[in-house]
Amino acid sequence: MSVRRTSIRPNRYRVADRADREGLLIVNTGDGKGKTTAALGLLVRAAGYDLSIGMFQFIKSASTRYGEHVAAEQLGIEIVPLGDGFTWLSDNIAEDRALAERGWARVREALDSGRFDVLILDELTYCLNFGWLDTATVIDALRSRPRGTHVVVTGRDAPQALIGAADIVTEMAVVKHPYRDHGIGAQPGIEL
Amino acid sequence: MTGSRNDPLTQPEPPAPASGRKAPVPKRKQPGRYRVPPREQRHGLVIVNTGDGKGKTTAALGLLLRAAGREMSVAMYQFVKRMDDGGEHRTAERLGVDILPLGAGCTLGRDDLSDDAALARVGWTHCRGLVERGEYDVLILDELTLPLAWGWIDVAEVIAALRARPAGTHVVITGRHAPPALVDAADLVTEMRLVRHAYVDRGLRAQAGIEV
Repeated sequence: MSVRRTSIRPNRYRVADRADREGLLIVNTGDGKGKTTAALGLLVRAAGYDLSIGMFQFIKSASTRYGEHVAAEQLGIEIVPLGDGFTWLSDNIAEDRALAERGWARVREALDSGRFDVLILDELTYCLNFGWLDTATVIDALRSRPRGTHVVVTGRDAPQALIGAADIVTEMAVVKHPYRDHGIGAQPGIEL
Repeated sequence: MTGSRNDPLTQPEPPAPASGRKAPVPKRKQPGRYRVPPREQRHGLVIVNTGDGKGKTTAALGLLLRAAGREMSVAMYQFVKRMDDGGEHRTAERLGVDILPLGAGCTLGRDDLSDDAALARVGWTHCRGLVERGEYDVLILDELTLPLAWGWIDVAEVIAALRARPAGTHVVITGRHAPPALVDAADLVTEMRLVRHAYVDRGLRAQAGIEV
């Protein structure tokens, strides 16, 4: 027996104008897998409706090129690692902070420009937790973003204030983990 | 796409950080680590995304994007769901990847679900073949846990198929209420926990590009 398409009507969902849209602040946090991955899934969905999407990756270095970078490029979406060719988590905290601040300046510009329907700020929570960026300042900027803009923030240990400001918060909890349980490392196409 | 300026394979290794702070620092330990190895050198994983929170199907779509970017063969079969032109379907078409709904749509408020159960079984029969033949490098069985939890499909049969699959193939299963036996048989299980939900808290509705 073969599988067939069962849909009998086009879907009723239309993308509302920005003015009529509830821009959501979505936070994916927790120690489990799926924080960045779920953000990529939102990118997949949003791309299907031709929304303009920006994804900025804190922590990741500019030489990072995973499966998602290649596929997003095929969709005409740029995923921007904010490492600028530098390594995050150097011994010099001032350097890390400067890198985070430069990255945040780019994010601010993208946010305030109103060019994006969906803005993904991958691993931003680390910058907040390490004190590179001021949590209150970041939350203020997110709160005052142009209407109808969805923002997705990922990373472990999201600060309580960020959780309080968010509309959707999911904690990805580890139940079983192949690295923790069996020493199986990250694999292309799955983790990167 | 390899060989481009940003390809980690053609880039010199950045200096390793000496600090003890923990964060996901991308480091390459051996050359070629990021290349997709042949199947016999892969650890084929059974991945389960469950829980009441958002991000189960969504994270599976993220895996689909990664796998597509690695030029691995990947497909998503969606149990219960009926919609075939949501955001993910449209994007998948552009990526040349199949996302196929197998169901009759939302079961809420309907009394007679015998057709739904039959559709799920037909869908599973098809998917079992895909699993056992190792048709895809990454096969995503979206919402499969629902027909399992409702007793429409036998859990033992699913686990037997997963165990019998060719080495190096990944299978991703999503949905609430993953049966304990399936969790036991899986390699990677994540529970998406609902911390805050605007739709529950503020009565908002699903939006195109986010939920569908």
